[in-house]
Amino acid sequence: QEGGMAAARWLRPALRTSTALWGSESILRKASARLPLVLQANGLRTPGAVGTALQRSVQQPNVQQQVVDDTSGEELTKYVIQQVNSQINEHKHGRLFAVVFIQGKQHLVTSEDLVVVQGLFPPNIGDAIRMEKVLAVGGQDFTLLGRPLLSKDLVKVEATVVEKTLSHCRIYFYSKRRKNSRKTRFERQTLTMLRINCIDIMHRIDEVPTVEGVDGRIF
Amino acid sequence: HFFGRKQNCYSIAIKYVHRALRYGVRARKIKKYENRKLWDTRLTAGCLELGTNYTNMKSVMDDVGIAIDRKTLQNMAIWEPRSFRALASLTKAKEEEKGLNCLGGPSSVGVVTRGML
Repeated sequence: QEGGMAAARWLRPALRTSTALWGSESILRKASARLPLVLQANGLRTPGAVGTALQRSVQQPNVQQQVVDDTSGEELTKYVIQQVNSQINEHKHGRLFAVVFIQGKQHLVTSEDLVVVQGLFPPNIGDAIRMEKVLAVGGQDFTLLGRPLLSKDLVKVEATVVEKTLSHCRIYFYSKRRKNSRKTRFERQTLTMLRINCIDIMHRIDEVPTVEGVDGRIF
Repeated sequence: HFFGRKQNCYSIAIKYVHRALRYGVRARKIKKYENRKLWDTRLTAGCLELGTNYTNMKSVMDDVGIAIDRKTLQNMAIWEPRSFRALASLTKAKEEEKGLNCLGGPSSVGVVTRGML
């Protein structure tokens, strides 16, 4: 019994009492062999998932967050707008160009330019026309880009109808060799020449009209 | 542009004239495609010179709402280089936001959007 008690000393207290009831050493040895190794070797225990997540998570201190406006580009914006406005007010921008939308086509246009419009264009010779669809306007030092169009009260592009002619004769000739099939068509398209008179920027760029959505319309 | 018998003898010349007219009809259609390809090449060249991508420029312009077409864009690249450079800087500023040039990292360009673009 003493040998049995001595052998049972390396077992946990709970098992020690139960083994005392068994008796012989041989039974203890067999029982210990059947016991899982986890009891003795703590290092072999696999770490639990919950435990590592808690260890890895950084405890954020409870701090009240503040929303701060991004004022990094404020000075630059103010300076640029002021420079552009001064150029517009003093008319120091020089020659302006405009990207104008005429009859489905875009043209990069300056004053004194001739623009050719193909097809049906009702205005007669000598009529003064204002281009309302302006996509962009610019000078040497600045460009104003519309998204997609610039407002009518900002830019004014005026043009005059100079000439109304027909284009050169286009020959549409279709034939199939050795099949005795041939078809000819002659076509002359109407052309209208427009002379761009002037391009103006009417007001400062940070000026907002009192009524929006009207765009100078009366109906 | 006809020479020899093609220029002087009717029944030989007429065949070549018919061919030339047919080529003209076909070329008038193809001219539109060829011009557009030329504009695309010019714009890619211009964009690469300024350190961006033509595809990025197109997508950024669509995103922002600038509707300038290829013809006028390539004219701007040639005759209004400063305005084209402004458009290129706009693409550089916005492409990283859209996730188009992430590998290179964001480029520091003097573009202020004030949250409006």
